[in-house]
Amino acid sequence: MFFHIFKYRLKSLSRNKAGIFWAFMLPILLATLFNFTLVNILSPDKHIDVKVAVVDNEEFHNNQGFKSFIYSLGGSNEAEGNSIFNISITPLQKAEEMLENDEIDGYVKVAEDIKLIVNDSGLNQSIIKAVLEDYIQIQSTVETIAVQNPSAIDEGLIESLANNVDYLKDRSLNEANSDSVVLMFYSLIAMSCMYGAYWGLAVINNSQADLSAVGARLNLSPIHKFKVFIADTFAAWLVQFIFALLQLLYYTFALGVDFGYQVVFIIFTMLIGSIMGITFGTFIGAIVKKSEDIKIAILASLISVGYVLTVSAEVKYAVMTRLPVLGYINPINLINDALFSLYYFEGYSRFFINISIMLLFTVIFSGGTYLIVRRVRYVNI
Amino acid sequence: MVIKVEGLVKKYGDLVAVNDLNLQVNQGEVFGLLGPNGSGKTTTINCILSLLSYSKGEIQVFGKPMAPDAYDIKRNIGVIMQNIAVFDELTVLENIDYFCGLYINDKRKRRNLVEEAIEFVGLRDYKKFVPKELSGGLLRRLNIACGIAHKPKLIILDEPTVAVDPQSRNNILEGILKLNRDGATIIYTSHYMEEVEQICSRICILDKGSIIASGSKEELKSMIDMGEKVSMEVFDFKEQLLRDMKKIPNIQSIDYKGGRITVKFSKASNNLIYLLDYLKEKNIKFGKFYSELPTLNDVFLELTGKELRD
Ligand SMILES: Nc1ncnc2c1ncn2[C@@H]1O[C@H](COP(=O)(O)OP(=O)(O)OP(=O)(O)O)[C@@H](O)[C@H]1O
Ligand SMILES: [Mg+2]
Repeated sequence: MFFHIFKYRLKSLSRNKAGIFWAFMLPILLATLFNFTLVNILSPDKHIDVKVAVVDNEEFHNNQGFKSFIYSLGGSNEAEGNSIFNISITPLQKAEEMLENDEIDGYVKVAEDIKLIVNDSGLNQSIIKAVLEDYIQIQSTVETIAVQNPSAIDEGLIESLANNVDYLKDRSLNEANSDSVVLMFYSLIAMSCMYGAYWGLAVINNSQADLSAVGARLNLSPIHKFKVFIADTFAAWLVQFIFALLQLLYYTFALGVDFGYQVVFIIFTMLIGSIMGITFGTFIGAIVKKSEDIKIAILASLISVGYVLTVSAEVKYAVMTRLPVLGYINPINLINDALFSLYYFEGYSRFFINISIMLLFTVIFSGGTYLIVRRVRYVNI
Repeated sequence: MVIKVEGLVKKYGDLVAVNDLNLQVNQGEVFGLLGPNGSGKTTTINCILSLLSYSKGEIQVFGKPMAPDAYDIKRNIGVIMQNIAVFDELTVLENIDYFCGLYINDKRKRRNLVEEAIEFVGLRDYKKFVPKELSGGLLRRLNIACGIAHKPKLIILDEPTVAVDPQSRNNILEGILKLNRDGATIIYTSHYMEEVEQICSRICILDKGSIIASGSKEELKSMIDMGEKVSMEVFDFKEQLLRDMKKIPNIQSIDYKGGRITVKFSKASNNLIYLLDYLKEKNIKFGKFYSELPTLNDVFLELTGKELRD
């Protein structure tokens, strides 16, 4: 029975032309368009070069952990190539001056806690911030462990944790695809995952007696409507996921975009992103008591806004630095950032934070949907 | 007893759509629910099916209380809703198979049932068509097939013939009678009295959410005073005569419009003779002349003071 419902839903969704347009054709079209116009404009040999100063004070010298962390960032690690960081250790006054004259992207001051001072927002500033946050997180882990289990320190704990730091990979970007282009494709993948909402909308419409005639018919059948709903959702998930995979293939082979070597993680992100998009659609479909056209318009505008907030590095980082909450509640940014972190960082902590928030959203959307549609009789149809 | 409804009250906000309604449907009947637009037919059906919540009332189907999760009851019901309920992206065959599959697990059995249903509604040449490619009447037939393929014991049809041409309509009505002969109990709602009269063995007349009369069509007609209705074409008729004509015995009402007189008589013998005598005496010339038995429309008119259809 479950398979019967699943199979036919798969058929009907994969023949749904409007859905195919939103979740598949639109991103492909945009990608093709962008690819031809942007790739040529963007300078091909743009290097990331983060210049940062550390204030030379007593606190810095006393903080051995941080000191060695900074030195390790500073490019002493010859074996792994040049660091993207260019670090100078200067007195406070000099650091302020350098920042004023735009000689550095920001400076770090160690006092009671570690402070980052920038006067601009952009990719470089965000990279410093992300790295520092990583450090602080690890450091507090160490402290907790040291209190609870002091002997662990002797057992090489610090090194093993330090190895987990998401050191930035050095990327020489003089290949055909510059960072901005990759970022843009991440946004497109993220957008298309969220357009899975269209399938979600179709699923909720067809399962509710007050939303469609088919929904009424299903409610009259001897099958629990949640069984239908879940089978439908899985079908939608599969359809969306297949379209996402096709997109990835298209970007990689037809447009020649190099996403790096983390394909499995990218695919995993698309899988989670797709279910988040679908449940987003069911949630909007359930909570908005308007016609289907209005629901589609709402979905499309929310998704477009979310997309615009991530599509260029500048906007993305302005959001990340000035209004980080918006970054965390923008599902497109979560997907985009998960992919982005795979591309830039060696570790996976940032990636899994994004994935966790995505899963949290999925739970919230589906829980919300459940609460709205769980009633068994309708007040009106 | 297949359905028993007692004291059903359904409100939409302040509007009372069904008002203290009682009805019973017996095994093997073709039961008609007749009422004008907005009289509460669909609302009643949806309450019976536990789709709608209602403020009061007891509803039993197959002798058991009906509920949204009464799946063993639902398994034996087939519903054809007023609105077409099919998947736009699935073909005729797939649609029927999908809905049938919600009731019947066994694949081979289902294949036979689906074939039978397609045969039954005459869509054999359209199996591979998607709904968009079907005409209105064919689409209605598909809608019916999706509701009855699993051979339910109780079939509920809510105005299945709206916007269907007369020939398709006759096919549908005959089909319904066939289903009934094969053992299904039928509930049929409509605002077309001709249809209800044609197929229903028992009829409830609904107005403003209440049942105002019920019985077989003969019983309903005998409830009212009117015995027959005479309609005739007249020439050079002076309207002043109308008042005088009311003297003819047993006349209930008389109307003159567009060269035509319509006279309603109450039940009595020799009505026509009195009328013809009068016409002869006054030397009124008349052309086409015919007499009809009362229709359900007349029943409705007499009971509510308004036409069933305007
Ligand atoms: N969802 C709704 N919200 C508010 N009022 C409604 C709703 N559905 C029906 N009504 C009202 O309830 C009354 C009964 O409607 P219902 O649809 O049951 O009539 P019906 O007999 O089926 O009419 P029709 O022949 O047009 O199908 C009408 O006055 C209608 O306006
Ligand atoms: Mg109706």
